[in-house]
Amino acid sequence: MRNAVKHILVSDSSYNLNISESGYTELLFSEGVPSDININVSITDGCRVHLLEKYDAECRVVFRYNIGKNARLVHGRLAAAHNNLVYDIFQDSDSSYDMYSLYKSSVHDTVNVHLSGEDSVCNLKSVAFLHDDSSVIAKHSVIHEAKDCTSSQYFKTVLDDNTRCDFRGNIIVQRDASGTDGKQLCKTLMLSDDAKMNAVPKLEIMNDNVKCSHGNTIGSLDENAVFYLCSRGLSAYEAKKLLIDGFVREIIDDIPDAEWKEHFNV
Amino acid sequence: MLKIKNLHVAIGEKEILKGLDLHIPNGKVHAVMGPNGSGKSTLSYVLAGKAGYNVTKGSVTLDGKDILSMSCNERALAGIFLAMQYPVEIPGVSNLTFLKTALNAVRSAKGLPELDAMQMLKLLKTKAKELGLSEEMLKRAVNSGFSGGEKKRNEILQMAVLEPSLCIMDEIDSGLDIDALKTVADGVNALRSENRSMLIITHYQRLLEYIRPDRIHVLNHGKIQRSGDASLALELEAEGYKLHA
Repeated sequence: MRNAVKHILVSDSSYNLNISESGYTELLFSEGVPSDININVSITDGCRVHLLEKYDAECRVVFRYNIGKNARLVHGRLAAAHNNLVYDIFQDSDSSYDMYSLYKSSVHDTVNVHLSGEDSVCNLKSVAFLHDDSSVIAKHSVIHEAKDCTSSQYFKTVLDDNTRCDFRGNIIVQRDASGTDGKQLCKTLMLSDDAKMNAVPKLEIMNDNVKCSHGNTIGSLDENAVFYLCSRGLSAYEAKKLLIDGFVREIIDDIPDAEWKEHFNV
Repeated sequence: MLKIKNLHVAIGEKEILKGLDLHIPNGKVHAVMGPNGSGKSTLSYVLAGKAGYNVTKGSVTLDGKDILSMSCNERALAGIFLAMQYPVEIPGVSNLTFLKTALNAVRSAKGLPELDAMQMLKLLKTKAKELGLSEEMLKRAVNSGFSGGEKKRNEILQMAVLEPSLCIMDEIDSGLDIDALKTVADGVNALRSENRSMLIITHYQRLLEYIRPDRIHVLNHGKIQRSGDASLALELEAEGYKLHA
């Protein structure tokens, strides 16, 4: 989707973007960006939008996204600078929202998705590759406010060195949200004994007619798999690289934009 | 030519191989048979360089090169291939990517140019077809969700592609039905050659009906107890291993 391409180099502290036709938008947060920014994005009913946020500079941004009826937003986020990001995302009925997030350095990320209209769908997929002493705090909440909405959260983390990651995943099902289908899964690959992962899944369910699940795994590289690959001639480095790539591959393969995929590669 | 001399191997404090001698000349196929716990799998792992196996005494050379001083992948690049009893499932890594990476590593060690994507695909498709593996299986994750027979055929596919000088096959007959056993054996027989030696490890004589060995060794209590020609397998099938206990 590269028709109606729009690149915005963020330089002001406040933006109101009304997207009223299907297309591609990129928000670039580069050197010289204000330290505190407010951005409101409204997507008109029925529009199909790909939007990429690319962070190369430290900043704090508060977002509000409104996704109209039957609209679709595919949202990429490449956080590679010290960022503090806060989102409130509101979805109207029959809308769909796919978020692909990549964390490569210290980020404080708060995402609240409000499924306010019936039959809306949201999928939050995140990959964190952390090195040195980076730390990520990700608080992702999906709030089911209306009937028959579907949500999934999939958080995959690769932690090396002295890194730390906190994932607080929350599914909130409000009283009127019958027919909810909510899933949450967090998987972590630890490459270092000094890294720390804190995964806190949370479900707050106030309706009986729902289907919700959560899961969490934390492990290190499978030594048998490393041996298997090395016994075919791969160096230990290549073997580990292939296994780490394999760990996040299912999320990367799902990204609908070929250029975004490149950024997510190991 | 594989030469194993007085090999002693321990896992932790426990000695598993206790002075094993074995010579396999180029072009020859040798089988090692033995009861459970006799040290067969230990022998295959220690040759392939798996961690956790401590060689306390003895030597192993392949074409005159000391392999015990090499890391696991250096041994693979020197021509050792182990077809495993339990091939590992690797989710997320496609068979194609894996085979491509492995073959190019082996080729560059041999001083051959790397193959490009098209050449690689053509080669892999041809070899896979010979082993009755579909193209779709090349695209799937390594061994993930493969049946027992598919995993073993995938091992032989890797062997056919990497063209090692020593093929070690650890119970490649386990879990195979008759048809799959025949396909796997045909694949192995197609790889028999003047400058390649093979070591087949098995419990059963049945596999050796399909892959005729030049020589059979009985391994028990960490040592070769007896050696003979292919007819030894029939004797073992009839008598069991009790004579060598």
